Amino acid sequence: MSGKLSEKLLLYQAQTKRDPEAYAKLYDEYVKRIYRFVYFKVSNHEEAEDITSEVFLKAWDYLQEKKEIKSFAGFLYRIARNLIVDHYRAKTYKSETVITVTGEEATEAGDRGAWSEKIEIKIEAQGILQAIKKLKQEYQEVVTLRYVDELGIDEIAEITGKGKIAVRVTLHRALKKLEEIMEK
Amino acid sequence: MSKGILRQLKDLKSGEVNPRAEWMQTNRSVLLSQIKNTINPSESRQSTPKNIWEGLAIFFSPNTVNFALRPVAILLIVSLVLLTGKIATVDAAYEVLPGDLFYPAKRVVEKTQVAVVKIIGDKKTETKLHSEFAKRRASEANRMVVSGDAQKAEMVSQTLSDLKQELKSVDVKLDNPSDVTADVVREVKQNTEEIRNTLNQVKNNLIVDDGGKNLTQEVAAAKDAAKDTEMKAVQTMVDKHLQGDATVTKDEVKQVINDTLKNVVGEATESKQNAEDAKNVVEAVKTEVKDLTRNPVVGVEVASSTKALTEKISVAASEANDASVKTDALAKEVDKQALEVKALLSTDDLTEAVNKVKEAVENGKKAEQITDQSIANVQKVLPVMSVVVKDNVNTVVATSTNNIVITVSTTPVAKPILSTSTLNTNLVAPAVSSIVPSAMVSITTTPAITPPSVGSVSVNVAPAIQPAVPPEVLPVAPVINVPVKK
Repeated sequence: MSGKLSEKLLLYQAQTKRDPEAYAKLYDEYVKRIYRFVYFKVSNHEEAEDITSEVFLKAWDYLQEKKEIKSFAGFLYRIARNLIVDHYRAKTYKSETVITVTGEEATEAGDRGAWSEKIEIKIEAQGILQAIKKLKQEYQEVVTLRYVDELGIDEIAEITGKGKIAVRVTLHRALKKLEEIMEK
Repeated sequence: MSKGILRQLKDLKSGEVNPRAEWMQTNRSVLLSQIKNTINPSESRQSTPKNIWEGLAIFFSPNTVNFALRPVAILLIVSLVLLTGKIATVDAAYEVLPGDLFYPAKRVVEKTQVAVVKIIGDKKTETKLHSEFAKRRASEANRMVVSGDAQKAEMVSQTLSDLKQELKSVDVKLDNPSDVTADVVREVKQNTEEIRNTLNQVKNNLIVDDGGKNLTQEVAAAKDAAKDTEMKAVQTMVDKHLQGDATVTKDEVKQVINDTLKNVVGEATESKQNAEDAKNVVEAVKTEVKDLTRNPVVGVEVASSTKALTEKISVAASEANDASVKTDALAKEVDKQALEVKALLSTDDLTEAVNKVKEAVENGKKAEQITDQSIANVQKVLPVMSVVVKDNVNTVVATSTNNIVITVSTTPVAKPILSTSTLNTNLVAPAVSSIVPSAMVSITTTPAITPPSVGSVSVNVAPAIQPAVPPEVLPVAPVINVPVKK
């Protein structure tokens, strides 16, 4: 609750007093979450970075226009979602590239035990990531918000603009679907 | 299996799917510099009332703010003000103007006071309150006009109608002399006098910049209402005396009638004077223009629009003349009535005296109306009188021509700029200043913009007939090129 209140205070400073520092604090708070949210939907880190920075810039512009904001988190996610849609519209001709493992691992080839363990986690992560990417948008969002970002149901409801019960149902179905995909 | 998936999902948070720390930092500074660019330092925001409510809307839902917090806040202030008593209200509330944060509170306090008094049935205090509030409205209107705040100026009209409303309430009370005591009537009389003076100030301030909003007329109407109420108060005093109210002595009544009379005579004289000044200004300008047309430059036909201008000015002049004659007659009438009143007073015929004063007041009102109209007319004409003369000093060398532009404008200018010209422009300036005391007059001579080397002379004539332009926008004179006979 106190976290929420301090967020509102920051929001107030950013919107009414136009305080960039307050906005920077909001950025610190949300950048990781938004980045992950975007990353699950686009193909690579570069695109995720671009879109994420655009999200925060756009959000600032909206704030300055004195638009009414109910929940800042929901507001950011909404902008992110729209930008992702725009992004795909702009590059429909490009096929989605498969996430490639960066070359970092090769340089660390020296210590074997750690390396093999790391690559295992990596492969496992790749698996779940691939599976998530195969889910439809709606499922993807709730699953990542709930289990990766570990948000509460009510927060997810706020972000997605659905009712709490709808979120629960979607989450349940999404998880089932994810299992199916993983088993294949 | 589900457990495994959940664990894997959780692991994602600390792994692959996170942004690079380095990017987060650089992006943060980029973002900061970008958003700093969007902030205009000149428009630093103050904590205006609007912003306060908007700010609150972040913490609570807008509905809560508008329908719960705002009324509650105002109610809180009202009750605080009521509790702390009159001392706090009078000074604090006095400064508040319509459009301010606490103005609604001020009005609510006033309404509450009236309501409380009404419930108690204290009609004396109720009358006093209404006249007091009317006085407040007048002073508000004055400060709003003086403030020069365009937003506030728009609300003046509302304030004036509130003022009239208050006066009406007073009138109703005065119609039942049994409801009021001599004290109350005295106070009403004094307040209406103050209202009249304040409204006079408002009118003077408006002469400078009445953006064609007819505010002057509204002020005049409010002033007339104040005069009516004042007259009613006088009447009530006389009635009270005649009915044998011991608190009102004959001498006092006579004194009051005399004072009122003096005011009426003074105002009538002022109206007459103003109308005459208006006439003089137009006359002066008319003479100038006539000189122009009578001595046309050799070989140059006087453009037809110059004639139209002359006609327009003639019309204005004759109107101003009419107004002057009428107000003069009215002022004389008022003077005559004043003598009659004095005669009636010496024979102690108070009822007749009051009736005569009433007539005089009516005449005074008429005179003022005529003068207001006349001044308005003159002001409409003045901005369009931009006359250009060709000073043909050397007819042989056509290129050495100078155009002299005389611009008579009602635009307030920081300092009057006076310069010599072949025309006796100095005559116009004092005349204009005398009618529009607060407006500065600028008379400038400008050199020819382009020497008419191709054998044509430019004669600039302001469009003769023009819709009422806001005084600050001077009409752009069309250039008429007339061929010169060589």
